[in-house]
Amino acid sequence: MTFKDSFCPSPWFHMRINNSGHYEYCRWATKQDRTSLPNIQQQTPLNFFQSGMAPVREAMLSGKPLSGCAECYQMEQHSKVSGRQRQLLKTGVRLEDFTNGMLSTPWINEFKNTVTEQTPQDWQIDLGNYCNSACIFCDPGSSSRLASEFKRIGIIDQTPAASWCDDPVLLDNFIDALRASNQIKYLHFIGGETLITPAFKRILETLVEENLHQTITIGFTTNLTLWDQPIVDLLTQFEQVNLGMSVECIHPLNDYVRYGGEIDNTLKLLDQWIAVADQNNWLAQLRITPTVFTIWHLDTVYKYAYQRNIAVESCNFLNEPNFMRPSVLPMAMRLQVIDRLSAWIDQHNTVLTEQIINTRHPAMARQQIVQDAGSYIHYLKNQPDESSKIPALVDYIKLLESSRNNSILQYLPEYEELLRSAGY
Amino acid sequence: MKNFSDLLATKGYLVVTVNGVDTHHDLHDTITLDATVPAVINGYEILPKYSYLAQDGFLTIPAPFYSWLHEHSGQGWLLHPVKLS
Repeated sequence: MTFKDSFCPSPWFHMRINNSGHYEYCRWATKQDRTSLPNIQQQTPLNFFQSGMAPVREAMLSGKPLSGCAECYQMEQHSKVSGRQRQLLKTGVRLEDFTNGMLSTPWINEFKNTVTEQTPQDWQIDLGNYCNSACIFCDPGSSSRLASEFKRIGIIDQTPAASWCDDPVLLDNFIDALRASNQIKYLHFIGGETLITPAFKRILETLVEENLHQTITIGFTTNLTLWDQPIVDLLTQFEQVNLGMSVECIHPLNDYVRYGGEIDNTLKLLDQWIAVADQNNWLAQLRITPTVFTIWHLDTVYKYAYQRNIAVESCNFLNEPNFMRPSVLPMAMRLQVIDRLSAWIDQHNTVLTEQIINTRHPAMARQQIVQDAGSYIHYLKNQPDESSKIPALVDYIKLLESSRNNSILQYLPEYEELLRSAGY
Repeated sequence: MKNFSDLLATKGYLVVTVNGVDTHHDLHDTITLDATVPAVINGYEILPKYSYLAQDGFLTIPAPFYSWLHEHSGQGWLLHPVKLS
């Protein structure tokens, strides 16, 4: 792998605190080993960023690919815009002109420092697992409802520990770190469900009290199950808001996969959020996590978003749980999905002269949607077959369905032969 | 190019093409162009695409070119390191 293919500037301006309070060097880093780095109980956020992340920066400068960066490398294989490309763009670098971009970036001298005096400008803050949904591809660390269900049906023995931000001392430490970070540009919050997480409101209120709302952009994702007007009112005070709305397909299958949602209510809330976003010039995106199931109706999301001129984004190609990956679908069925996506793309005659990296550019939303659909076509055509994982998938959904008293075939009858062949 | 040291040992440059003629410039040169003549820099169309930015018949591109291009081609945020005292 060349330096151009591996280098990422993100560690010089970005860090993450995950749901358990452990630091991570990147919001796109793979989910394995999420507790190997220090915790907010052990080290201050700024100390971790400035010194604790030095080994990551050293690896970046030496051109060594990091195992935690595998999902970005996979996205680039399939022409999907990766986190690495997005972070490079924030430093003024595009891969098609990497050398000249790097030598011109305002960060070129700062990159020489592996221990830095800079403070994070772009944070991802995971607020814990408070969640009223129990999405089938999620995990107990990100959904309290799923955690309770997993414990009840014997998948786990213990539910995860309370979120770091339930501890008022740790939350105060974090807020102090925000105050000490003298050039925060972006704070992105995820849960759980942000709107029901007490710390989300508390942090927003503090940022407004400290007048930081005039310079900071807030990003957050909501699961489209509820509305909280006081939080909406707080958000409207910020310089900019990037709104992510989670939906997998515009079809009742969404209710099976995003368990706890109800499609009519989801669509109603979607319209409500879009209206607020339009009124306040927020950047709105549909956030998707295509799985072996929802890939079947993925075209419905693109159609919906295209009509409304809203971008569509997924963080990665789903990796865990591995039996839920779209690549578990056998090629014969993948071809049907490819045909539908291709037919939809062909209808729109969209010319992509270059890859759109700034996927939040409002004027490029429709081209971005077509580009994203193209990346899934590439993935489905080229990602190695993993249909050997179908029995594990069947075992898992049978266990969940015994708890939920539902059946995937009520939502996706097209999969009956496939699932029956593996013991469903 | 295998690492950051290799990058720093590399010489970058701008190729400004006007009327089919190439001229070479440093990455950190300010470029001034006759706004009435089509121009391309390192393969990126500059004129007439950005002629609306011209003043008094000339388009002046302050250095570095790539930061200017980032801003004017709608690439979103360009973060800068904080200047430390």
